[in-house]
Amino acid sequence: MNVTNGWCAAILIFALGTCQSINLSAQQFTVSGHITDKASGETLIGAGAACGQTGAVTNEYGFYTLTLKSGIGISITYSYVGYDEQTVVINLRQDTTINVALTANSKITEAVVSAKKESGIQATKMSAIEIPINIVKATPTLFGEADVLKTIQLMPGVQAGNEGFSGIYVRGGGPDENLLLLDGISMYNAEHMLGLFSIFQPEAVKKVTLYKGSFPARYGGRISSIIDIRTNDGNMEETHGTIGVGVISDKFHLEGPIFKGKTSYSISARGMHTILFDPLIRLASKSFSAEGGTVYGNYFFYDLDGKISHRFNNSDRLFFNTYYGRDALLAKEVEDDTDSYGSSWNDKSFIRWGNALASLRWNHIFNGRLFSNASIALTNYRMHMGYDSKTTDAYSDGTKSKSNYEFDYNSGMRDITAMMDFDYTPSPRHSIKFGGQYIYHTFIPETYSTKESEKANGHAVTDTSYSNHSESLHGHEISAYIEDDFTIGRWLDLNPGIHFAVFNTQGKFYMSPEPRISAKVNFGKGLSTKASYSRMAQYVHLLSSSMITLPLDLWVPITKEIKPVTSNQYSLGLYYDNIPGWEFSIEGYWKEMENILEYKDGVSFVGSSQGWQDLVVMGKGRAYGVEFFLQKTMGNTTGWIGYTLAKSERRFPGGEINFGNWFPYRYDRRHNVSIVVNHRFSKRVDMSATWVYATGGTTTIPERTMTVEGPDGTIHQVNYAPYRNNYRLPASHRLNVSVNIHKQKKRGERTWSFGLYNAYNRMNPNFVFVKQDDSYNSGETYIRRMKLKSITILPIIPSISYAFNF
Amino acid sequence: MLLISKAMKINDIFIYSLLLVSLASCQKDIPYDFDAAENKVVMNAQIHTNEDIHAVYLSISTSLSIQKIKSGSVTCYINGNMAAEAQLDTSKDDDDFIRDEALYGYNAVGSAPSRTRQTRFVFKANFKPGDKVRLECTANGGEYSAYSEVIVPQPPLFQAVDTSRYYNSDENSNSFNRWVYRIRIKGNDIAGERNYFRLTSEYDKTLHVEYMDGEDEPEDDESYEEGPLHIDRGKDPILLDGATETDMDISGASENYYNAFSDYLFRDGTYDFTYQVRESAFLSGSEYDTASKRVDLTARVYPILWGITEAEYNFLKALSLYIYNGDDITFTGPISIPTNVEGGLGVVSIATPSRDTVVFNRTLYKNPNL
Repeated sequence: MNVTNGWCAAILIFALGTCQSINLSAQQFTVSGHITDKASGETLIGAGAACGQTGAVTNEYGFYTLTLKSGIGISITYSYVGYDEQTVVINLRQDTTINVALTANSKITEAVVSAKKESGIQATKMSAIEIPINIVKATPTLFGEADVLKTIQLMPGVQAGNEGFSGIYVRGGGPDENLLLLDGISMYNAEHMLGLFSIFQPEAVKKVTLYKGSFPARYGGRISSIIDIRTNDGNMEETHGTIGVGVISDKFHLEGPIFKGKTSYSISARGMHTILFDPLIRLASKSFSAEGGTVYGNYFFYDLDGKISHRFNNSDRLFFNTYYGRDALLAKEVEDDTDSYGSSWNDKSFIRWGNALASLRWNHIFNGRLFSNASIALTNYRMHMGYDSKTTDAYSDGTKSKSNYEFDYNSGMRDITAMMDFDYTPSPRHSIKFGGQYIYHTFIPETYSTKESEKANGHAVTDTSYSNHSESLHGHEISAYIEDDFTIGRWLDLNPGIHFAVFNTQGKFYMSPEPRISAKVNFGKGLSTKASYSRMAQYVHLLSSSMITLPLDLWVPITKEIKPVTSNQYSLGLYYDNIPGWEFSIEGYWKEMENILEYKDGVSFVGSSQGWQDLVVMGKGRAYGVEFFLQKTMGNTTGWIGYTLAKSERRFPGGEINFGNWFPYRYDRRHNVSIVVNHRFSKRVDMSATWVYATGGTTTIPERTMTVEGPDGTIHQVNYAPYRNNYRLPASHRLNVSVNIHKQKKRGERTWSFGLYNAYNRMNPNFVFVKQDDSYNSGETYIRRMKLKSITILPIIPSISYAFNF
Repeated sequence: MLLISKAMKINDIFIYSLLLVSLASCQKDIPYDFDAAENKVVMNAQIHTNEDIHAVYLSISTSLSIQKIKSGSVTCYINGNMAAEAQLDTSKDDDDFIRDEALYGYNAVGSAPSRTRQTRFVFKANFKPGDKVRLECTANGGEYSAYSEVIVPQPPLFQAVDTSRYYNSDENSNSFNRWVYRIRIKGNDIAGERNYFRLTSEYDKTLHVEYMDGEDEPEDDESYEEGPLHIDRGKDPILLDGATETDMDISGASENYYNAFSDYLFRDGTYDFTYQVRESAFLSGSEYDTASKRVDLTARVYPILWGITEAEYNFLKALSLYIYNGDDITFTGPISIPTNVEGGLGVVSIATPSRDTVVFNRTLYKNPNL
């Protein structure tokens, strides 16, 4: 052997050793740990760790585990979108913990290694999309308020309900069929201002994942989607924050270490300007009213998010997080007309509604292969309405009376949750998740009481009180799950699982085995196909008679007569991502739903759930469609184009609605297009634009006029709609644009954002109704002309906001 | 300066808030074409089992109009046997068919049949609880035909158990109008089935006036009067049928114009509710003058509880919402009136009443000089 051959042999041996272990023995060991952001210490969810063909990604808590054959010079590469890659070379002779801190870079580059992920094109599961929080913050929205739910509406397969509102309708499902999770805990009525804004503050959010199908086995309780929102743990190294002022709200975010490297906090607050100016509004109400009087009214909302994270050691972490948010509508009128009319009054009224959440979470690493998370949480949604009136009257006959009237109304929903989740990686080819959950639901239907009292000339004449004797309803929901994500050969990934749930309410048990399976076939060169089946069950309903979210909407449990809603969803998709920075997918789905509810004719649920099960009918639903998604993830220009062709129908075999025939669901929109473009001109300037187009949903229009007779013998002329959802509305489309101008200052970075919502002022209908135009008699005929009218409340709306990040 | 009524109510707040939004909004017309709707015959009948003569109304419903029929027929079957062929009522006297409770005016938002292109047919029949009644109609020489089947409900079992007269606060009334009678009703529901009810009330009164002794005055005088009574539900949850109390209700569900309710809120198969009637409904305050020696009132208030069908209950609830909301359906969508006529439209219902009597005796005036 000459010297050249020797060098060649050495080089060959070295080359092999850069990413392949040299087998000294057949033993396997695990490499595990946390992947974090170097600057903040924030755990990174979905970050990759890979060696050759073996890879893993971090779970929701930033933990990864990789099983490799023992060897020397084993090279493991860590990567995450928006971060510099890092390679660590080790000699693996035992289970090893490697915690890696990645450095963020300003370039949007794709992670080189993407292994078994939970969502996205690389995952075994399909119909799961991770929405980067920077996209949420950059997407132009109403009044410049970055909104998680509004960004989710831009995904294929997701529709908004009413134009401009936050309702989420996924693959033909209703707004109450989405499981909204904040750090794993379910939230109810997650909207402000009747649905114009969501409760989630982007400054507090770390990651948003949307599952439209192929649901992981650990999720259950809703049939249409899972929206899993994870919040920041807080910067373990330095204090940072943001102050922002917008058109309608102000925001504040602060995070930092309590004990550096060990304990951190994160606080976010947002509130409407009107909450800050409330004292001024009260003062003005006195100033501009008649002497001695006050006419006051105000509306505001606010959100408070807080989190404390503590790292005991490499194996144990504790998290405590809270959320508190409220909407409030207040009014007061005080008038003293004693001199003129002999009367005075003092009326106060309010409506307050919102969520509160508190949870405690403990992460424990048993060993390199077994990770656990234990959580307990309390969620509370409450609506409280009150009215207090005090009146004094003096009459010409000398009578003086004082009367007092009080009304109080409460409704709400409370969950106490305990859950335990395990991630177990027995071998490189298997990633097993299993666990269980118990939720104690308390449904607080409307309880109201009134008190009336009156005194005449000092003597009590009435003193009565009423209440509706409503009792809370309770439900016990117990579930367990197991799933395994494993690889067969080089080309097939399988993820079978099962979620088993038991729901007990009012003495009735409902059991629901919910099998889930996903399969992915890799053809190579970036081409793959996936298929999945999921069965889901839902045990709660939202009673709402309105086209928008009202605080009076009520959550109610299933009953002995009303069964759980179930769905079976089948999906098939084709994926391609061989061009760096580009991803393309086409997915088809078929969803069947059983025991869905619809209201009988002439029913109103506003504020009352009494006898609700007699006012609804159960039926079937089906939804099917195809979703195209083209996404650019790298470079100065990123974004996506999404197109959905879909159909959603309902049928009530009993004939109570539409004579038992299939009819279109209210939000059955045939075509949906969303185009999102983000362009970075320079470090200082970036812009975003979104354009959405949707063919019209349906609405119910009275198609004729008829007469009915009241029990008193009089005749009423009424408009009559024999079919629900009998009219298809015109298409709507809208362009939103925004520009962000950044400037680095001494203590941080300031950003001016200029936005234009509905830039070309398209008058899309937010509400549609029929109004009588005129009526007249013509001989033996009474003619009533009607017009279809639309109300647009969101025309072109500019916005400007300022933020300072320090 | 925004003018707000004396008593600020939550529903006013909601309405003002939505109005403020509407002020900033844009309304426009959307062209649509509904001419394709098929014409249908409409049959309406509100049958009370305590009456002998029953009216059935026919008309034709089209997309945009209500048309009078050119010809028609109505036949009544009881338990499969033909009971009566209705005759065309040529009297055109609506007053004979509009019931007293409509004449009160509070609930009567509808119109007289003659003004709404209805053709009235009348027939005579007696119905018993449990009878299966079928009304068949044809119109325009057989061009249209339809039918409806209804089971006659059972009469409710109840008693008026307690009554009190008291002085109630009413912001819009003077002191005279503040006297009310509170009538408490207790009854037993029929077990094992869902039952539906409607409450009405009537009165009659006798005034006995004793005049002062004198040549020109009669010794005494007696007058009699009767009529319907408006029912004040107050905050009674059964009469509100589970809806939120009126002042805080923004949907109109608590308006419940026809006082229809179901047995959903009953406990242990019994019901217990209270309603009010104003004394000013049958007293005007001018029944006597100070020249009288004495004035005595005997008033009889009749609470009438009707057993109604589920179809009528659903219809009355929907009609009540329709009356309350009118054209303002922007946020709730159109109120759909349920119909129970096969092959056509309209509502046929039969109600069975039970009544009790509450007697009030009171001396209205006694001359203090005597």
